[in-house]
Amino acid sequence: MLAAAGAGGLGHPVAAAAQAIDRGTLEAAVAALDGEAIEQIGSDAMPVLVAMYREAGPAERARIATVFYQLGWQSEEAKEALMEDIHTTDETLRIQVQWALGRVSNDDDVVDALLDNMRNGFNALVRDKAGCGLAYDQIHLNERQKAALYRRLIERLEDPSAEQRSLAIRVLQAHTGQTKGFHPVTRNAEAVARWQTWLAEYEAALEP
Amino acid sequence: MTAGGAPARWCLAAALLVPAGLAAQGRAAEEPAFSPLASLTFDRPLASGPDTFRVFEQANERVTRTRELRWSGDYSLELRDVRGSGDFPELLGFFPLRRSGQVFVHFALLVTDPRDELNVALVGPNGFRLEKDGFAVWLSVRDGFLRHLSDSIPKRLLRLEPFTWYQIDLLYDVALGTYTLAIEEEGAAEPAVRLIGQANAASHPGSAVDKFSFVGDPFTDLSKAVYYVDDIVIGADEEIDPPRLAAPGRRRLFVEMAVDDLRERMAAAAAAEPGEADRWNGLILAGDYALAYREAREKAAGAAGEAAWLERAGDAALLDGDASLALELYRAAAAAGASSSALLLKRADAHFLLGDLAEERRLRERIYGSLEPRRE
Repeated sequence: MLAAAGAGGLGHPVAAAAQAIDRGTLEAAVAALDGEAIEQIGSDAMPVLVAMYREAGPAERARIATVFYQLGWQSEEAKEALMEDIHTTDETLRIQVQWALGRVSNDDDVVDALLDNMRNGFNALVRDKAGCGLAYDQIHLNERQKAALYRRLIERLEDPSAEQRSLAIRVLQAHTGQTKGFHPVTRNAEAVARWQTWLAEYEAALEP
Repeated sequence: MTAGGAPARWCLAAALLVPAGLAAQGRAAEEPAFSPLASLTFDRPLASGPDTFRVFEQANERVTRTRELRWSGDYSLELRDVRGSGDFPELLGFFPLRRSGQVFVHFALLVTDPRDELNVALVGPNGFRLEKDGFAVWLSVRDGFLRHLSDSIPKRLLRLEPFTWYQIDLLYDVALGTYTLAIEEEGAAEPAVRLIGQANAASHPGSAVDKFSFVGDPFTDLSKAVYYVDDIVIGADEEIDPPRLAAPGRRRLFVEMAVDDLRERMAAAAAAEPGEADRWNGLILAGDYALAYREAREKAAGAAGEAAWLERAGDAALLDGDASLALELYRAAAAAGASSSALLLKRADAHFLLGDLAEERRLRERIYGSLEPRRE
C-alpha cells in the first residue's frame, strides 16, 4: 500500500556481500536500466557506478543517473557526481540528474539547486522537471527539511511569474494532497494566507 | 494481556465519541447505533476474498492468526515484517463504500518494538493517495511514537509501550472529512488520546472510504515490526443490510462480477465497432448463455484464441448453471495456455457450486491469501 503517497524506492542499500564488483555486470545492468540486478550486488556497487559515471559521456551518464534513481540509496559520492551536472546544457542528462538527486541525498544544497533550476532552467521542460524532482523524489527529507521546502514553495506562490506559481502549487499539492484553494492565475491572497497558517501549524508540530 | 474484551470497551469509547450536538438534544445517554460493515475478531477461520480481505506476505513475512498474544477471545492477528525483504506484509480489508454518514472504526493494537514502523489506514476508492477518496485516516508507528496525519501534517499522538494493548476508536464523518479519535492504554484509567474535529489526512471533506489496511513499512523496507491486531470492527451509522455472501469471501460469484465489469466496459465503448468478442459479450449481457456457449465452442475449435474461447465457453456454462461443464472447459483452457487470476477464481466458483469447498478455498487463497499459519 501507500506506494503513491509521495515516497518510494528501495530506500537503503542491501548489506553488501563481501565480493569483488564485476564492472561488466554493472555495465550490463546499466545498459538494461536494471536497478534490481544492482540491488542484488549491494552498496559496494555505488563507488564503481560513480566511477563509471565520471568516465562516461552525457548519454551514458543519463543512464547511470536513472539507475541511481531506481536504487534510491543515499550516497554522498553519487550526489557530488550528479551535482557537477546540475547545470549541464544536455537536456536529457539534466532532467535525469534532477530526478536522481533527491533519491541519493537529503542535503539542503540539493533542494537549493532544484529550486534554482525550477526558476532558471534553460527551457520550460527543464524547469518543469526540476519541479517534478522536488515533488516526487525528495524521499530522504526529514520533517524539518520538508517544512523548509514548503516555506520556500509557499513564498513562491506570490512570485511574479505565473509559471513559478503554477510549479510551486503543483509541488505543494504532490506533497500534501491539497491546494487550499490556490490557483496560479487568480493568485488569491486568502489561499496564500491559508498556506501560511498551515505552515505555522506544520512547524509547530515538528518534533524536537 | 488484560481480561475483559472489546465490546465493553467499544461501548465506553463510543460514549466518548457521542457528538456534542447530540448531547444538546438530550440524547447524551444514548449510544450511537452502528450497522456492522466488517468484523474481524480472528477467533475463527475467515474467508479471504474481494468482499472481505486480502493478505499480502512474502517469503518470511507473516500475516497470521495466532494465539500467542491476544486482546480478546482465543486468537489475534500477527503481522511480521522482514527488513530488506523487498516487500511488506499487509492485511487489506474491504467493506461497502461509504460516501456519506459516519463510519466507526475500532481495533486493538499491540507492538513488540515501538521503534519499528507500521501503518494503519482507512482509505477510499482512490486508494493510498493523499487526495479526495484516497487516505481518510492514516496512523503510523515509528521511533517509539504513534502518529496521525491530519491536514497533511504528521502529529505525535503518544509514546507507545511495547507489549501493551491499545484500544483505538475512531469516528469518521465522511461529509465533514473530520474524525474523532480516542485511544486507551491497557490498564490506564483515563484515555491516552482524545481528539475531536481532526481534519482527515489531506483535509478533503466528502472523502469516501471502503478499505482498511494494516501494513509494515511500505517505503524504505527497513522495518522488522512484529505487531498484533485484534477485534477489528467497522460500522456505519445507518441501517445497512449485511452483505450476503454467495460464496466464501464474496457477495457474488467471480464470473458474475466479471459480467458486471463487462457491462460497464461495453457501455463505455458503446460507439465502438463491435468485434467477435464484443458480439459474444453482447450475448452474455443479454442472458443468452446457451447461444454464447455454442458460439464459443465453435470458435474454440479454430486455431486462433483457443484458450480464450474455451474460457468463454466455460463462463457461459457457469452462468447457465452447469458447473461441471464449466470446470471441464476451464481446465481445457488452462491446458491450452490460459493462466489468469480470473480463471483461477472462476474455477474456484465452479468448485464451490459443486460443493468441493476445499478446492474452492485452495484456488481462492492463491489470489487472496489466508490468515492461517503456512505449512512449511
